[in-house]
Amino acid sequence: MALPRSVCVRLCLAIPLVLALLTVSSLPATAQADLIASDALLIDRPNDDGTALLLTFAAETETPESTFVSPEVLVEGEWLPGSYRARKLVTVPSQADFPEYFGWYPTTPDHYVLTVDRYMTWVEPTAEELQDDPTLTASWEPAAFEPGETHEVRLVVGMGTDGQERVVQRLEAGSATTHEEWFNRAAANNLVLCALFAIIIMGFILAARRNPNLFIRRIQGLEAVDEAIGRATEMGKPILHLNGLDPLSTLSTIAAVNILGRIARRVANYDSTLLVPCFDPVVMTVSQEVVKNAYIEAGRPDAYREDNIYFLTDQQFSYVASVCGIMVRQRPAANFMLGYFYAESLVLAETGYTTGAIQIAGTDALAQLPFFITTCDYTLIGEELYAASAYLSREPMLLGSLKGQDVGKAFVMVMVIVGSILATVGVYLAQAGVESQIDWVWLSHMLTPLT
Amino acid sequence: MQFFKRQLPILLAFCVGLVLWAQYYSPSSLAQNLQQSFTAWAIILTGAALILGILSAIHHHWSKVSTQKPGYGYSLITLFCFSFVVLAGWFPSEPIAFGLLSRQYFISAVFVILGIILTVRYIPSVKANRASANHALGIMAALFGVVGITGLVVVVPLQRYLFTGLTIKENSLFDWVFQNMFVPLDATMFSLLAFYIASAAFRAFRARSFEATALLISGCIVMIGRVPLGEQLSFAIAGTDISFASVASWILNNPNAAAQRGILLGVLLSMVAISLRIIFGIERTYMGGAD
Repeated sequence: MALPRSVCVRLCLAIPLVLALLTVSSLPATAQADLIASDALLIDRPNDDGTALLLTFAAETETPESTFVSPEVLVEGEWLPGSYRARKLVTVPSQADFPEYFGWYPTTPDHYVLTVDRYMTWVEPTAEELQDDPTLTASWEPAAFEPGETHEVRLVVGMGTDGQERVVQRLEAGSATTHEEWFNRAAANNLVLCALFAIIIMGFILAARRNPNLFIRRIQGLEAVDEAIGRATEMGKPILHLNGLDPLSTLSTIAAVNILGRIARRVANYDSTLLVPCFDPVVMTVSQEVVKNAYIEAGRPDAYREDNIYFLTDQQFSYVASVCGIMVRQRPAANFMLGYFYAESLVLAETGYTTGAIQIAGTDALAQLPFFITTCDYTLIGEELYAASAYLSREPMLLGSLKGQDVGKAFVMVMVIVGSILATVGVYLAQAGVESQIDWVWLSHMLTPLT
Repeated sequence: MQFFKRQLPILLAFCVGLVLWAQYYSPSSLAQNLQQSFTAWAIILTGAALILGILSAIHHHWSKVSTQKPGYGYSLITLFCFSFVVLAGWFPSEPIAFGLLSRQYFISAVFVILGIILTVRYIPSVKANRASANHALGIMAALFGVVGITGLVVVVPLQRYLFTGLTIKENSLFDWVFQNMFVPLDATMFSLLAFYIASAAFRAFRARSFEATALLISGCIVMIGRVPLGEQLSFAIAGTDISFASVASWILNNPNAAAQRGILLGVLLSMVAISLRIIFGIERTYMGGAD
């Protein structure tokens, strides 16, 4: 039965209208009344390698906890997700949390910040991949941003949890281009302080060449090195040296190997036996070379035994078991434990204590220092480990660098004291309701690392 | 030769040190790639050095066995376990499809025979002359190198067909050895720490001086404040209730943290100083020459 033409026209007009009304009524009240997010802005992320943009936006303070946000990226006319999953608004940081991007005083510190560095694409497995692995299925894969790319991004705001999520707002943030930076301006304070400190140290090294008589305070642990080696020689027992568990790329291991060289030269002079069981094969190779040269420089190349510097294992507690076995069976009269140690420090030092050996330890591992102090006769604490090589060699240029370090420490101490006084005065002034005319905050900002 | 032994390493340390220092301040992709390259080189070098380490360990233990030094039995056990774990790594987790003469076993057998050849060549050289140990080590290194190259050229390209056992899977012999032998032994060594802490704490907490007494008191307060029962305890001073937990937190967050930061500052400044000494070639002991 055909409908009259006028009825058809009315239906054609009415159906879209009804659908539109239904769509509007299905939107939540917040979307109709007041929008959650506003002031969306897309900018290039500063001080980076040009692979990310920052999406900043303002949001109503009274938003429900179930509010979530997510970026979408326009790719070839299609809006694609900008992340694996949406993020709860309460977990999104604000501009005030990123001084490295927005400075210490951002104009809009409460604005939220989302990093957009990719878009997700739906990737179907190729025929070849399916041939290799038939279980492969299509999935969302990330496509990372590249430097120099321009992207248009919008913010998607949603609500709800447990499968009841619904989108309540889509907010255009505009477009921006990623730029690759060559210098990280946020690390400028670091560079300035580092350069200043380097100049001071180099200045003292040069000064030490002209005046080699520098005073360095006594370090008990290093004064006892000769005593320990002498005791082992008298008893006819070997000397055990451990370089710690870190690889040679760690400075504390380099410091330990430097000290090994100094100790080896003394051992060569005393004609004693030096055992160096190693945890790292690279450290073993370098230790062999260092000890060999120390013996040559001492005029005793014939006394050098490569067999005494060997690799044990690179497993922590297997190494401990092996070293403890050496301590108990060979009974070394002097144990040197220098470098970076972990949980094994106490097992090693306590076993050495039970064998009655004189023990000298040195580490910059703060958590292990109490164990060494408790169980060893002498402990080189932190920086003393790094000073040991210079101290033992008495080389003016090395001693000069120690002086430079002391000046650096004095500078830091002065800054800490001045900062403490200013902070304390600031608290009292604030309590008294006095507003300072000078902004001292720059001082703390200057010294606070941005990266 | 002196140039390659002394000047070149110092020059390399200077250039690489400066480049990596500058790299820290550059976020560019070039700088990041450079850092990744250096990290990759370090990993490759460490991997190559591991061969030297294994050779050194075998040499050390075999010397003890061959000369029957006191405690050589431990070395014998070590060598046996080493061989056993290496062999365990070659066994696949899947049932053997081709019986004992499968190609996988054939390659394993080739490796084992090469290992025997190495050992047979090594023993006489050590017995004949201790000083020839380096020479023996060189031969071993060369032969192991041949084995390694054979593995890379033959095994890796064809491992899908020949050597699936290289992939360590659950229920394989290697996995069984690791889970049921290595892990319990490792945990046993670690658990010794508790007893050592008790004996060390006993010595440290003897109140022989003012410092030791202060350590004893603060240590007791922190221990009480950190256990569940102690957290509920409190004492009153001038009518104010003070909990052990709050005093423990104060000790950890104030005097303890201050001392730790002091040490840390000294360490960090020392690190900068030693880095400069290495970069500018002032500290050369680690290169094998003291001065």
